[in-house]
Amino acid sequence: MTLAPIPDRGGPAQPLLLVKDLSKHFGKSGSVVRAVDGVSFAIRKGETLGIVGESGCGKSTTSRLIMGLIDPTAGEVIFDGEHVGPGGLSVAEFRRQVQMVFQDSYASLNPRLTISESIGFAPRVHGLSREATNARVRDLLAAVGLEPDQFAQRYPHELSGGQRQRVNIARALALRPRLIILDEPVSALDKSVEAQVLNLLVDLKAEFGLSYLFISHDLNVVQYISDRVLVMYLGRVAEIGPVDDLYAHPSHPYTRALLASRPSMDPDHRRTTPPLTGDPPNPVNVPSGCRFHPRCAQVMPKCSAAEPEMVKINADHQAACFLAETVPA
Amino acid sequence: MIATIFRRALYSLPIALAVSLFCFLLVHIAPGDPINAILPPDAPADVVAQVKEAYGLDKPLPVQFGIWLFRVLHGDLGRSLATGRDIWPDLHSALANTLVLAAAAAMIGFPLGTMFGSIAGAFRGSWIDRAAVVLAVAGVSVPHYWLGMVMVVIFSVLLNWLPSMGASPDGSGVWALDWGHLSHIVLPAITLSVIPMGIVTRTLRGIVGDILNQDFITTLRGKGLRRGGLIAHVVKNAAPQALAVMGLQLGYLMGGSILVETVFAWPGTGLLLNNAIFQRDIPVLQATILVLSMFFVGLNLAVDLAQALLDPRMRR
Amino acid sequence: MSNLVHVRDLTVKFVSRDRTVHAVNGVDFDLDQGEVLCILGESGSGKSVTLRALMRLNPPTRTVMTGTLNVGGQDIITASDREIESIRGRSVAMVFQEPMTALDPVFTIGQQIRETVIRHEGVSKADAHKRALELLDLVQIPSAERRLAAYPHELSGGLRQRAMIAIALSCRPKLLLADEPTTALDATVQIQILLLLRRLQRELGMGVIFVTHDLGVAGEIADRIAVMYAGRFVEEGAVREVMRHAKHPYTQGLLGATVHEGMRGKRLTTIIGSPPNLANLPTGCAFAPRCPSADAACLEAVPGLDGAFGAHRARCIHQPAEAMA
Repeated sequence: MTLAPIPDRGGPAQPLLLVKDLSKHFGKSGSVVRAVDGVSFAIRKGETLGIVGESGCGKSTTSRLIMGLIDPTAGEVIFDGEHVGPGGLSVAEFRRQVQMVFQDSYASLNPRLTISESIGFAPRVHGLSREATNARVRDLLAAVGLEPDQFAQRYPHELSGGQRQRVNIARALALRPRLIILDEPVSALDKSVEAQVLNLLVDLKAEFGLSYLFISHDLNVVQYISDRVLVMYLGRVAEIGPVDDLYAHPSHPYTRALLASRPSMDPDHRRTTPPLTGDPPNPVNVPSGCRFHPRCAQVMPKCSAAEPEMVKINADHQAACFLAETVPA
Repeated sequence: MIATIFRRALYSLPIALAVSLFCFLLVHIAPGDPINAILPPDAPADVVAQVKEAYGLDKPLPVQFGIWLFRVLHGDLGRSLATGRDIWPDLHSALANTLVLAAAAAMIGFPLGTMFGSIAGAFRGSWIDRAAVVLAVAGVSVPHYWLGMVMVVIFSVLLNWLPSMGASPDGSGVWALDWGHLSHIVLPAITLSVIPMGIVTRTLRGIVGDILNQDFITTLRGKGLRRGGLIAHVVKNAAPQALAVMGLQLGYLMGGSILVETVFAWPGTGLLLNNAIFQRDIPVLQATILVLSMFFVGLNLAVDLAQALLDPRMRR
Repeated sequence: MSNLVHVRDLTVKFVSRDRTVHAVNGVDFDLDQGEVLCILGESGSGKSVTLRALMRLNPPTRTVMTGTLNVGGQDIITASDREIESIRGRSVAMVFQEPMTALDPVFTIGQQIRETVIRHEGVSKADAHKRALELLDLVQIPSAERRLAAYPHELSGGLRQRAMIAIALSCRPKLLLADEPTTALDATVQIQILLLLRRLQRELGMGVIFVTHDLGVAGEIADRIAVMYAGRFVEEGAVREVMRHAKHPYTQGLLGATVHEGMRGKRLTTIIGSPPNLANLPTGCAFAPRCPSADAACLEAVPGLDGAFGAHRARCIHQPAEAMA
């Protein structure tokens, strides 16, 4: 048996992944944590969708919900037109097509397995012969820039953080997935290594025709790698749009604040006032109406009364704010 | 805080119930008709019938358990097979003696263990540390009864300094605080204290070592705190865990002194259990295990509450 | 000697039975009152060890320090433990990266501030409490009285770091050492803490040494930047000079590798390889094995920092033409 590439079904116009009204509430009645609360978005074929947000916004929970690592309270995941779950695409098949890379490169690898065994594990389980698996592992190591002769027989603790993250990426590629979810993949790395891994991700995407869901707290990294960006706040989508449009014309006050929180990189024009005060609130007690209203500089009376709908700013750019306006094309 | 106490107390109720159920079933687990366990085999038929009715052995098991539990809660633990007397008065004095012995052993073992363990934890890798580890391992591995007998041979037989048997000079088995009674408790208490001392040493070495490796210790040093100030922080951080271990050890001392009590003929629950086992005195066994288990459950609850009191992160 | 901090040829070694790690290998710098120096470097560069050396906070049993190290006129290397203990927290204080683990979990914020004040100023508990309230006000923690009674886990990340800063400022230090104090925080909180530190530094006229791996953070707060690699300063200068006209190939590489606005679609410059093993440093320039412009001469001796103290200078014999940052 070989691991054949997975054929495309719905054509380029059909989203690769569709997430509909996904929710996850933790805890019992009384103190419900609404980690993710009615999140919908699509990942198109061949694109990188970036998710940004601060701690507690639900970005990591979202990725785990998509992967089925935790069960959603409500909502649906549709992969290339097919519902994921009973009656549709089986979870096993879905997991072959969608892989995940985590922030902690060391905890993600079994310390007792060699690099070669870690990468070859899933292909072997899927019935690939020993020889075919070995050949595949060598190809994958070469693809992520690790010399196979030098690294295949090493153990995770013998590698640097950047090298381990390359191994995790190689392992994610092992079953020829179509979508890779990258949850803070470069956050634990030094800047010079971060750049190496980002370059690698760009190369691999082109080489293997991948789509990425890239989750990060680093606005600069998300801007660099994404085609479209989704901003999350307290379990909800605040804004979603094409990266250049969203970074140049943020429509949600939270997106504006987030962008204005970045260091200036210019000692002559330093930031003078913080765009927001206080910390991101705890998702245990979500504010009424717009969840951002207690921290918003442009808050209006109706913001605490009703939750704003997504407003279409242009064809591809939406924001959940009463002040967002449609820009005539 | 009051809510916490209430909730934790509530949590221990099912445990207590399960333990009582086990003790109740002890009679039924024993091979043969439970009546054989309660009455001697040569009991006359009318007595058997009478006891059967009195114990409700003709009723279904859950009902029997209810009746038994009701009696136990009213202080009626049944009668001994061997003596025919009420169990409670004998058990009461035995329990008091075991408590005295356990407390004495704890008073020797806990402070010594705390001292050795803390010093070892603070000076990891030094010769003091290695000595403490050797001591801890020895304490945990030396067999109780062997140590007890060696002590008797040295201090009672050869040197004739201390008595080797019993709890009191008059043999009454009633404890009092005077030299005569104290001289009786020295050898068994030391023998019994060796294991908890070893365990407390080992645990405190770990706890103190871990605390000293934490980031906040660097912060405290960075604030210019001297040794005294640092120790206050280490103590408060170590206390919840240390207390938990000591609480458990106290429980083991209560239940685990059976060999030591036998060696020194100490009239405690251990000796009571030992005799009950050899005389197949199931009601006594049942009552003693029940009371000791309840003591253990109560001790656990107390440790839990003390931990919540000491560690703000546990108050939930 | 009027400098607040005066460091010459500082080395820090960690000696254990099987190996010696050369964490800091000859660092020279001065810091004036009211000046902010950022030490920029990646993990293992020796930046945190240098910072901790200024308070002698590295593990006492394994650390060997040589060179000259003066803080506020006091020789740190030869001082007695007692002298060091009375400097720490009083004239020199430190803020750490992770406020959750850097604060004692079983003591309230109030207790942790008060004990520092009482330790160094011998005031009464009531006076220390009053000072603690003022300090929370200074670091902009609202409802101060309630927060003083709180335990660290009951506060948000931003408030915890503010409390950490309050502790550091409790005896009005002349020198504040900050070890990546904003790295563990969310973006919108990071900028708040950064601006707070900048304001406090100006208001209190403190000298600040700020260790970070983040060029952007350094750009927001530094007067001068020192770039550290393998235990040495490889480049040092005013913040504008270093950020705009980097001289050393490592600094240039770091600037090229730092993702920021306007780089979309471009390939990121990377530094090949990984940092040297500090237990076994190469002779000559430690960066040479990874340097695009290295040659045989680079491996002969450790290059010196060219130029005078305070000027923009780099530890490179080639000084390649200015790269655009």
